[in-house]
Amino acid sequence: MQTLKYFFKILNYHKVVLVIYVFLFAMLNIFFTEFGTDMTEIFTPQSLNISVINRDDHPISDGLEQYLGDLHNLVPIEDDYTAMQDALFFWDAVYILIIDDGFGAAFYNDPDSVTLTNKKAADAAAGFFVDEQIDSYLLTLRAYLSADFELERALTLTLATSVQEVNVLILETEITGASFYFQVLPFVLVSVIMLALGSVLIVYRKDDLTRRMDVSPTPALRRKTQIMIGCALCALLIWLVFMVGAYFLTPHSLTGTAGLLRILNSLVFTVVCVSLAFLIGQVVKKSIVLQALAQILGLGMSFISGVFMPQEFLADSVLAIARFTPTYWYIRNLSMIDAVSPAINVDMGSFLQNTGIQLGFAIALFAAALAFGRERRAA
Amino acid sequence: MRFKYSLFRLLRDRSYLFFALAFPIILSTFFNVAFSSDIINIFESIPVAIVEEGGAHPMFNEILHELAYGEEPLLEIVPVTSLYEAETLLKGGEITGVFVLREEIELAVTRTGINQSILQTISNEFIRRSATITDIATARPDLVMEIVAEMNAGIDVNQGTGGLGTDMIIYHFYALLAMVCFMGSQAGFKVSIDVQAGISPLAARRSVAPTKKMAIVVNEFGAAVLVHAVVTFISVAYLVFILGINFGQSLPLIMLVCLVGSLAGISFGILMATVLKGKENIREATMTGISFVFYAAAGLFQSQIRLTVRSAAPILDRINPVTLISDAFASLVIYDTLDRYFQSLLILLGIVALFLVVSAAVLRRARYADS
Amino acid sequence: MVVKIDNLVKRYKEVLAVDHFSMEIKEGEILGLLGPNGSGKTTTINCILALLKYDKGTVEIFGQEMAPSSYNIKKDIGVVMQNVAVFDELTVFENIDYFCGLYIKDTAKRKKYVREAIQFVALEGFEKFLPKKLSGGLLRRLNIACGIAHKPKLIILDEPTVAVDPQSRDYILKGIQELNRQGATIIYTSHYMEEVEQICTRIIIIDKGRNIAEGTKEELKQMIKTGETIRINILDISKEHVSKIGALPNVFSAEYMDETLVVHCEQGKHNLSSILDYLSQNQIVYDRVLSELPTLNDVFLEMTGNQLRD
Repeated sequence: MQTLKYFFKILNYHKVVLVIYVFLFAMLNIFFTEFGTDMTEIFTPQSLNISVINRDDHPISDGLEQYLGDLHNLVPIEDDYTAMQDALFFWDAVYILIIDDGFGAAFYNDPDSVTLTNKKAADAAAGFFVDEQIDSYLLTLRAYLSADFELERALTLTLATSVQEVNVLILETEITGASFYFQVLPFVLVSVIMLALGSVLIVYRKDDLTRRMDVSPTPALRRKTQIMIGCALCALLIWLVFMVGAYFLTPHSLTGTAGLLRILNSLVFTVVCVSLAFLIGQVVKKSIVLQALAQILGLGMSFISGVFMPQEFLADSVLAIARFTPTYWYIRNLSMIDAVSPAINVDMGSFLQNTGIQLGFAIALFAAALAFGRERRAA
Repeated sequence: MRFKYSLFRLLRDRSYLFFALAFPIILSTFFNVAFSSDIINIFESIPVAIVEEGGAHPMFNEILHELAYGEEPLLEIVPVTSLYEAETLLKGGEITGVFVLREEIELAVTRTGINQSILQTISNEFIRRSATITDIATARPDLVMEIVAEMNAGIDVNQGTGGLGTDMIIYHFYALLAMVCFMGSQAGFKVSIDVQAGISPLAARRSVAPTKKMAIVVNEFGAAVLVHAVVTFISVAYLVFILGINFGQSLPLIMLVCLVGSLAGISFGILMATVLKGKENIREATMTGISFVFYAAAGLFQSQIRLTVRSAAPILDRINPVTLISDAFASLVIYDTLDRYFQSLLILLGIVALFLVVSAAVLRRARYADS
Repeated sequence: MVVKIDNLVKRYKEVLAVDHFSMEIKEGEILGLLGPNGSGKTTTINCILALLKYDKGTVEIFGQEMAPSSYNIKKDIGVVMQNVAVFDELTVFENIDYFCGLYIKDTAKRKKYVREAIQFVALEGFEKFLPKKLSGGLLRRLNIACGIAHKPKLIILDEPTVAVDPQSRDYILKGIQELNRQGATIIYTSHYMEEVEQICTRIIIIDKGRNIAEGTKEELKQMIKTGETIRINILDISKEHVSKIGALPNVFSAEYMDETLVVHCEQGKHNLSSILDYLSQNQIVYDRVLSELPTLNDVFLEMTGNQLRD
């Protein structure tokens, strides 16, 4: 166990670097959890920051403005092109409705003769909903006017109608176990483990060190296995740190069977990360290369697998490629776990299958790492 | 002459070049692939159940059945015999919603989400229209048919003029580009390390030469900025010509952002290598970690994060160099005037100046190899 | 026969790094592998150690064919590489212990060996030092300790004294001879001919991957024409006299440069006296006289036309 013992000594020498990486990525994780979103709320009707530029002075225009004001948060903006562009650019308002002078009167006379203009920030979902709301209001108003209702009555009825809602019963409370913390965890784990372990593994690549070890009677397999064990233990420690983080940030996601499965899922994924870091460690000699690889792999795998943008929103072609990354299978498991409720259980068969696939990645990567060294030696 | 050699050093560092180019190209291709899907992507029919519990709403029922009919129906109606059965299916996740027809229409779901919102919208629309038609039928029954037809024809008053006309997705690419510029921090880091005699033997050699440290740094710095700006520009070219991302029409302005952005990244790297203490890889790790926070706050991972940062910590948003670079790119496409553009660049240059001044001060003070 | 190499060939693309190289090393020898930079010394060593795949030929150590998995052979080989290959993160003691531990599993035995190795290279007192705190010479000594702590029967040293101060160099050379006395067979590669001359029992000269000449230093020197080189400080001498000296029996060249007359002679007892006689007879005043036996550089020069780079 010589190699293992000295691996830890080398690790110890670099402990400050490791601590820094873990600390900074833990901060990043907290940052994501507090400021990020799992994107489910985006498509639910909600109160947005919008603006209405009302250049008209007519009950119809005022009525529309009031209606929108009831539904959303009206942000006052100057009636100035730049001010509007700015508001949209900085997302101070995600939607700006412009009611031109004379709109109300024209609409009253002939609803099909007149137009409104709007500007949307680059947020397709918000725009979609507000458009719908405006159309619905005007459609109703037009109907009342066509039925010869007098203006004030028409406005009152329109408003009254437009706020009618179906009675929605939510049978269960929101699945409270789900947390963005676990969704963004694969990105954080891959990055921190690759960077932290990588910076230690790179030490073995120096100059003639490998050659010196290769001429010894201790076979490469034995040495590498010991290093791998060392890496695994280190990664385990890192994983624990992040589990502790979960305990403090999102304790509800750790409760019950769902909680246990989340923990298990993340542990399995950590094993994959170790293998990946180990393989990279066989290949990379320079620190800058390690940094770049860690970033490419971390970001790349995470984006296409549904870490930042849920899998539902990704194209099938993307997901097809993502299937070749372990992150995809982690997210699949997590989605299943997040859907758990008193009536819905995790399909253990699928769960175990996805877990198995992740472990398969780990084994393949580890085998590649062992084979790689041998190839290089003989060259 | 020295500038030339600094340039050669960088250009011959194959690993730096490879990653400076490969990284953005690979990642932006990933982005492109990931974001190529339509956000409002409807998918499979939404399974629902209809249960009559004392009330009857024949029209609503009919409409629901109409929506469940055809080649790619919006709804899929699952037949149930009782409310209890419906609720069981609902809780079991086999159906998304139950329309319970009592005196009023009710919708039972288990959570909020896209599909649930769609069901809600269908119900709301129906309720409102019925209310309107009821009012009209009471007041002017003779006009009802006409008005119903009119309502069914829809309305086309609200017409957008765009505004930004771009997808939220594009911000990811701008943020990615900003990240690429900012990765010049690696090069900047090396520039500073190679004049700190205590850390680098090359630096020690330089320290004993009769040349001012500053002169060396300026040369290396210049070379780094030039190379990195070119590298960034190549990435932009890839994004524009191969991936088809819109960066606006003006080539010189785009190049200017690449230049200033690279400046920002490189000077950040110099700052980190100079001001932080400790072993080289400790400083490098810190620089990487902080960079990641910048990327996140600039909305690289999720645009929402930038939004939230903006409301929770607006100062961070205004001075985050990665955000500023990203905004500079975006403003070329979004605005007709260049005010925002120059504003972003000016603030960036101010930050660059700050980084460099602080670094210079520290470097100058360090006279001995162990300070 | 400790090492037997037969017709070794190693090609790197178009370049023939090792060109049908053969050699045999008997037990107890200190074999010097002498050649300029780029002559294929290190490549040959790497082939011997099964670190490189070679194209043709055979390598046998201790009578068995050598392969990457020949662990029983490897445990009796010790290598000291050209570059200092130690862990920056481990102390002197830890470094030696680690590498020795790749050979010796028994903890107690290993501890003893490590201590002895430290003593052997005179690094006592430095056990807890990190490599970055050691000077070049001390680092080299550490490098050596890491390679020989396990008391191997065959020791291969690849240019171990590059950039080393004279005391350390002397120390290292004496240490190698001591190891040899204790029973180890040594292969010593270098381009410093004085070292090779000093300690090697037998020398092989390698150039462009080929075995050009081998033998003891005397045998090698016999192989060349130059038997003696005489240098005399003379303030002034005419060209005529120089060429006349050049025509003396046993002399095959005479040059006058920088106030020095350099005369290359073949082997012979009376070379010096015949030259000095000539000078006296012609009333040519001379000063310092130096007579040198040929060096290995001369051997190399004659055989290849190149200098051994010193």
